[in-house]
Amino acid sequence: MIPTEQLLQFLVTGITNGSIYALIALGFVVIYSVTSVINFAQGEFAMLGALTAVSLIAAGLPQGVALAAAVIGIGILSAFLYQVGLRPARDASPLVLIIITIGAALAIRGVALVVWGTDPYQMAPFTIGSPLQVGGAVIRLQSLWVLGMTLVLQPLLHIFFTRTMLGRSLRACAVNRLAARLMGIRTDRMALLAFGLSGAVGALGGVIIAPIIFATYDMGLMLSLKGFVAAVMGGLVNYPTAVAGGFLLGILESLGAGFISSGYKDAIAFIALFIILLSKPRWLVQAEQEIEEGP
Amino acid sequence: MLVVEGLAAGYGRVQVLHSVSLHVRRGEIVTLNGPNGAGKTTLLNAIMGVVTPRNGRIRLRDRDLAGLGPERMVHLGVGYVPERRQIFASMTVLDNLWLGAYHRSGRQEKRTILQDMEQVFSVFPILRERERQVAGTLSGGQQQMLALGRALMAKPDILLMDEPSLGLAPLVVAEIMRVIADLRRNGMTILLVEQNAKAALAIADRGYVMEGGRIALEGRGKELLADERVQRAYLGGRTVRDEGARP
Amino acid sequence: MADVRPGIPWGSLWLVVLIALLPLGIHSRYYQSIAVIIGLHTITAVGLSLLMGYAGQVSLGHAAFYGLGAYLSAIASTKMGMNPWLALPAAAVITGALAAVIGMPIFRLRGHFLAMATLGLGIIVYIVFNELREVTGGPSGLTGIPNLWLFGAPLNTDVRYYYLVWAFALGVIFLSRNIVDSRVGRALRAIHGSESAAAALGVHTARYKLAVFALSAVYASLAGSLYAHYLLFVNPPPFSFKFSIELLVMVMIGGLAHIWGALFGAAIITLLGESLRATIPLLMGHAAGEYEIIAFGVILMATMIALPEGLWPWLTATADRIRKRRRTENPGHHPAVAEPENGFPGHAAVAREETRAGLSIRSLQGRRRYLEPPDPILEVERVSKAFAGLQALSHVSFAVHPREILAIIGPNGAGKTTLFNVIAGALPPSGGTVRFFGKPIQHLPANRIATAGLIRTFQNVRLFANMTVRENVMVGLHYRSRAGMVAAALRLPWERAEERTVRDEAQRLLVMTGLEKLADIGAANLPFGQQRVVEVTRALAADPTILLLDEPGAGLSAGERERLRGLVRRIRASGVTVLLVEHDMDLVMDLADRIIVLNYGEKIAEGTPAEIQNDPEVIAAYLGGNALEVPASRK
Repeated sequence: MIPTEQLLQFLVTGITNGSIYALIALGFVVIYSVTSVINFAQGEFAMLGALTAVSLIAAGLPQGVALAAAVIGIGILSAFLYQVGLRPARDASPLVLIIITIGAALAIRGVALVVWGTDPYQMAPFTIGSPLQVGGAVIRLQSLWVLGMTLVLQPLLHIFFTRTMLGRSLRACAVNRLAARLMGIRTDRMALLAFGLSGAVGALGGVIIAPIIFATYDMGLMLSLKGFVAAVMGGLVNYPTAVAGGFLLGILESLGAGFISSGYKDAIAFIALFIILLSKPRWLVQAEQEIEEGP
Repeated sequence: MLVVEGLAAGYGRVQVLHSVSLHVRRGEIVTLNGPNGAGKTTLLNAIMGVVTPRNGRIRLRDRDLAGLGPERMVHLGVGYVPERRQIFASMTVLDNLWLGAYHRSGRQEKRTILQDMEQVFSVFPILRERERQVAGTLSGGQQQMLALGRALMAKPDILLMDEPSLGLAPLVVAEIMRVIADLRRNGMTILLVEQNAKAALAIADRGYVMEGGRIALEGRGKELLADERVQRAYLGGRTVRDEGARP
Repeated sequence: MADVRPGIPWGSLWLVVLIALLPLGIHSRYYQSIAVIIGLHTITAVGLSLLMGYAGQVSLGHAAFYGLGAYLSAIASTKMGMNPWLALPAAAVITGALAAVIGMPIFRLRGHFLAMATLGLGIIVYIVFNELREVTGGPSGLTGIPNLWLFGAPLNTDVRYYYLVWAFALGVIFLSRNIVDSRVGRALRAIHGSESAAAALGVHTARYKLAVFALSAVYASLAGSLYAHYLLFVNPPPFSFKFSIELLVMVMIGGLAHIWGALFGAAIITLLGESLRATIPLLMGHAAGEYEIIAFGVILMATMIALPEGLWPWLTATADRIRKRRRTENPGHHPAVAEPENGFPGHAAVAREETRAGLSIRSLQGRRRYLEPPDPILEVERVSKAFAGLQALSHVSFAVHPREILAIIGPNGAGKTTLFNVIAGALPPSGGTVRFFGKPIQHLPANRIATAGLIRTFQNVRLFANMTVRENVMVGLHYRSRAGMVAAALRLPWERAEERTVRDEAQRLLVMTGLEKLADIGAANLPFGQQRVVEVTRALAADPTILLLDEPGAGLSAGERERLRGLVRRIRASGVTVLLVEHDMDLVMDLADRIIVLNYGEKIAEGTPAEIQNDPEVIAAYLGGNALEVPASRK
């Protein structure tokens, strides 16, 4: 019989970790749904967000300003990455595009190594205080922030995508690019916006989790891969499912680390990936048909 | 209003249009008929800038349209209802209509847009009933109405329609044609590309029949309707060689 | 296109000599060891190049196989006391088998989903290396790996190991080039060019993809094992995702379909890494690992954006352009398609010709041409097809008689293409049966239907753009020949003889359809009309009993349509039944013996051209007479 406190603790850890996966997954979905590109550098944005914010705080900026500056700055960087790295190669095969983003991720990671070195960094929590005790589990205040931000962000994004003209036109690009162009939508500008938005969202994820984990220059890779797995659960085009997938993944990992072994924790995400891809859901079949229609 | 002269266009290595000339005057319904493969959709694609012409000219109100992409066309007042609708299938009816008005949304026109949406609903009451329904779940005829409504949301001066009757039952086709005729009555200029020659010619002022990338016939709607050559353009003009000689 | 030359690579001989003499010029142990590592990377990169460049599949986790080779050989020779020379092949076999097993579900995926699955695979294996401590030694790894011994002496110096590794590398290159320049290589390239077209010609695409994946895993395993017996120590870090990416960069820089390019890429990337590690500390005063990463990232991006084909092919192409003045492939200068003089030989004439040619033609598997097909040869029985909310076909039934030309026509959206795809096995029907030679085929995969004798062409012409005209036709002969990967790699005499026969047969067909002057031109460079003829020739190479032509007249000029007419007639005269979907009514009325008319997914008429032209329902379907008259008062 598993003690409930332990279960609850795992759940809390899982949800906390899962929230960053969810935010990165959102970034994947935004970019993929508008441009059909899988952006390998997504996790690096989270890393950059965290480390940049830490440095800005260390330089003397108040925490709130530093966070906002980091998020906006990384968003701009992401848009820049699209403009410089992906737009020139627009007509290349999907494989080449993925590799370009891999290259970008590597370059970003290298720069991070130069700037911040291999040391882990930690940020002060948003609100100082002692952790809460709920039903035998310890919940850090920052975890509440994390959960809160994700839960707030989701409906905000939902409103953005369903109620505003800009959000609608972003979705339209993904749903039917030709029709979008016929409406007068400039798909290039939309792609730029998509990248900027997902960069900011990724950075936000990094920023809110920085007080809990130790941010290092190489955390981006695993975050990218796991965020991707979460996004894939929703077929790479569905926002709510991607967010749910992120949380689910976090919880599964936490349970797995607790009950099986912490070393295999990372493998859980990929086993989940395999299971999803190999069960051949309908959206996958459809996406593949589009890939095959090429020749 | 719209003048096409000597247009030649194609895709990659395939030449589809050879030398097409036609014109549409303000307030007319002009229909372009012909069998599949004749180049009707290619012509519309060339006008809309989806395909770059290799030769010839396209002029809208005496302004040359060469080289403009489809994003620009809607700003010039050209509304397009593409072949097979091309609606945003996973978005709602309302979303689709909103997107139709995209190019107007920059300026503070929200109230006028809502008014126009009301107007679209009055022409297509069925869309009002289903305004929150996901567009892909509408029937073929309803999707066609949505596509037309969406194009109208852009407040175009001229409407290009590509095969609106495609895949629709005869009753629905008649309904669509009625709506199109009504639009013309209210002053819209329409270039209607249709494989269904009878339905199109019945409401058209003038018609062209295309074959093999060229204009084969031209005339007033009613006259073409009765012209036997139209039938031959569709079902093969030459007399069939006698069967006995088959090897 | 690939730098494949048949026979002994004379042009590459100088490179072999260079490799053989290199150690004499290098005296530093450091550079000698780099040369060994480049050799190991070359072996792995060649395998990956075969997979990615030729078969067009992707692997972002190939370090896993390298690591498996290292660990398996290490474990076998330490914990199980196996002789290293046995451990090497044992590891390779196990890794290859593992790749085949894992590949089966993975290769059903496509594009970036396949890429992600291989990525996941690589990471899972890496985690296992770290976690399975009892077996792999965990993060500390395994030590005490024995040397390899040859001729009584241990291979424990860099120079000796260099020759060992490069002997393997050159062997692998040699075998790989043989495979590429063979029936198997053609099949792989066909899969890369257009998987659906390859399947429609009988190529068992799934099996080939798995085979090349397993082969690339075997190469990687070999290299990994050699690595283990070189360092005499293995631990997980060298087999991480970083190495998978390095391999990827090597292959992409070397050019995806270039075997020697893989060597070039391996050399460049390894040297780049080393030189950065060596020089940056002199400039910066701290470890250069980070700059290496940045450099990789930037190089990767820049190369992919500027030269997506790879650095090596760009270099060789530039060298070619400087050295020689080749005839440029200018479409306007193509010789006109010549009409064959004697026309298409009839059935009997073909039989006579074949007995005269004797052994060489008979070695190509004989076929149904010699069987009398039953009447009807193809039956479509109440076939229906429904997509989400749309009934594309409703209970369509008809029969096709042997040696007739039957056309399927109907207005746009009537379901002709859907019907075609159901018959050809590209789509399963929702109901009904399709019988070919009396046997139901509606649930068979496309390549099985093709090998049964039903061959199709595609509406938008799916030629293999990465091959010449002749090579395209030779793919059509794929399943009529037999040589597999082993025979190809070893260049067995019977394999070479079969290749010659296939080439001759392809030539014969090209002459028949008037394309022989275009045989060596890249298929993508031809004008559309000629591409159509190439596709038909390729289909004929597969020796069909029934040929399905999907809108053969689409996009053709008047003259080309005339030639097509003649070609179809000659094809029928040689004994092949023809089923075509077509919009061009003149073409249909002229060619067809009988016509089937579809509308709204139902068959509405069947008969001779004269009957169809005068059928009021058909006229109504096309011209819209069914629509209710619009009330005149509305105008």
